[in-house]
Amino acid sequence: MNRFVAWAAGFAAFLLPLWFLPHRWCERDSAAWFRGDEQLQNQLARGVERLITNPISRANFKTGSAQFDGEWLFGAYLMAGFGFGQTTLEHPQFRSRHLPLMELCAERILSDDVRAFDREMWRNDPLDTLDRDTGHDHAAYLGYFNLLLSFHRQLEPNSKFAPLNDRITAALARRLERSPTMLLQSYPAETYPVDNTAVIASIAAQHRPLVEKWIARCRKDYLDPKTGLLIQAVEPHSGSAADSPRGSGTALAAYFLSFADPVFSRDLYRAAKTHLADTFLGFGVVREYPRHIRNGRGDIDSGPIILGYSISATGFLIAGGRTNGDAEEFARLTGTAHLFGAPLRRGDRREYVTGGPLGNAILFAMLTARRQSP
Amino acid sequence: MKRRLIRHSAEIVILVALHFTLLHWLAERDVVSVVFSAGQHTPRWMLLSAGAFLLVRLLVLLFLPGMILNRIVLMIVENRSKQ
Repeated sequence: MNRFVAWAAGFAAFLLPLWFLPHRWCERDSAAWFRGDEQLQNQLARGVERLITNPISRANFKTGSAQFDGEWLFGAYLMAGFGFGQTTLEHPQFRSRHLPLMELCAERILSDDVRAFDREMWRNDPLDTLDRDTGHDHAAYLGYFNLLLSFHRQLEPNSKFAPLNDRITAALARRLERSPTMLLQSYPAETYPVDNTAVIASIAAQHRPLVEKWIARCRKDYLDPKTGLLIQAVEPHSGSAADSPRGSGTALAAYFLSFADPVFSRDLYRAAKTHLADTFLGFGVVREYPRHIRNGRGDIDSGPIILGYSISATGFLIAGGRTNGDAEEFARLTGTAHLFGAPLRRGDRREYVTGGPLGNAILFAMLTARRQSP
Repeated sequence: MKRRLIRHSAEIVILVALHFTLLHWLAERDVVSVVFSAGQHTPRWMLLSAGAFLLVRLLVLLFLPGMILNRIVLMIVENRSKQ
């Protein structure tokens, strides 16, 4: 009897802290992140600054695919640029340092080696084809990059990128108007609604009626009627679903749309939270596929899927928590980012050790995502 | 009792020190960032190091508090049954 009592007491003693302590420990900075603590934002900005001012190239990524390595290089500069822009907006005292860093990111994205991944897929350059429509949409490169340029222009109305921003905006709007699906192709015969949300957000300031029309079409045709989640991929010509509704795409789309349409962004966030968000030992985790879809596979978009939970969806939904004032979900997800990201402070900078240039840039953008007024 | 306390304390210190050392050593060499983006070109030693680091981190952050409390409770129960 005594032995059983000892065993039971020991087991309970092992389990109790597991339920109550680790997630609370990992969430301890989340309130400060949520309210936009200047010191924390500055530390992560310094970490990301170190990563992107060091020369990085495709060789820094080891996905096993030259295309994906190129996308990740592009994504690292893109997300770092959003982070520097968002922190400039939230703390104007960062402006003199962060605005030039945002411009550095834009210049790197413009460089030949960073835009190579898109050129290799389309066999022509995204910037050479802006003034003519040959069916080469370049939605991924142009949409994401143009959103960064539009955001930069919002912060700096006399942006040196304004003429390029106008040219890309005009090209994207023209191509969207001509597309029967109202979607542009990211690569030949590959159409992703999430990439198109970046396109839409990037042209919102100049083409509001088109954006409204697009949002109505997206709600009707590209959301899963059961869950309200965004379909990950569609057939380029018919617009019919070519993949499932997924967490990584929905959470990322909610982030991009927060630049253009807070209501649609909030709806996507709520759909993701309702149908995909979960807790595990108090940590926030997000499924890649809704529960009714079994055996959904992981890919480059989702990252590794562990017990159905996606690294990317979990990371991207952090932004939705902050943007929509959902402090509890934000804390849970930030705790998970702390556990697996392994943040480390060195001097004045903070870096997530498992993140590398892309992971750190993504977390910088997500943790500093702009809060919408209630 | 005293000897066991010392042994348990040493285990805890070793685990925490191992985590701290790996965190700094691997961060310096940018090794563990491959763990969420591994592909066929990722060197095996990098994957193994990253995996080992994550295991140690999970052990320290998730299970160590429970392990400590478990051992304290077991020692108390054992002590009482001896009395």
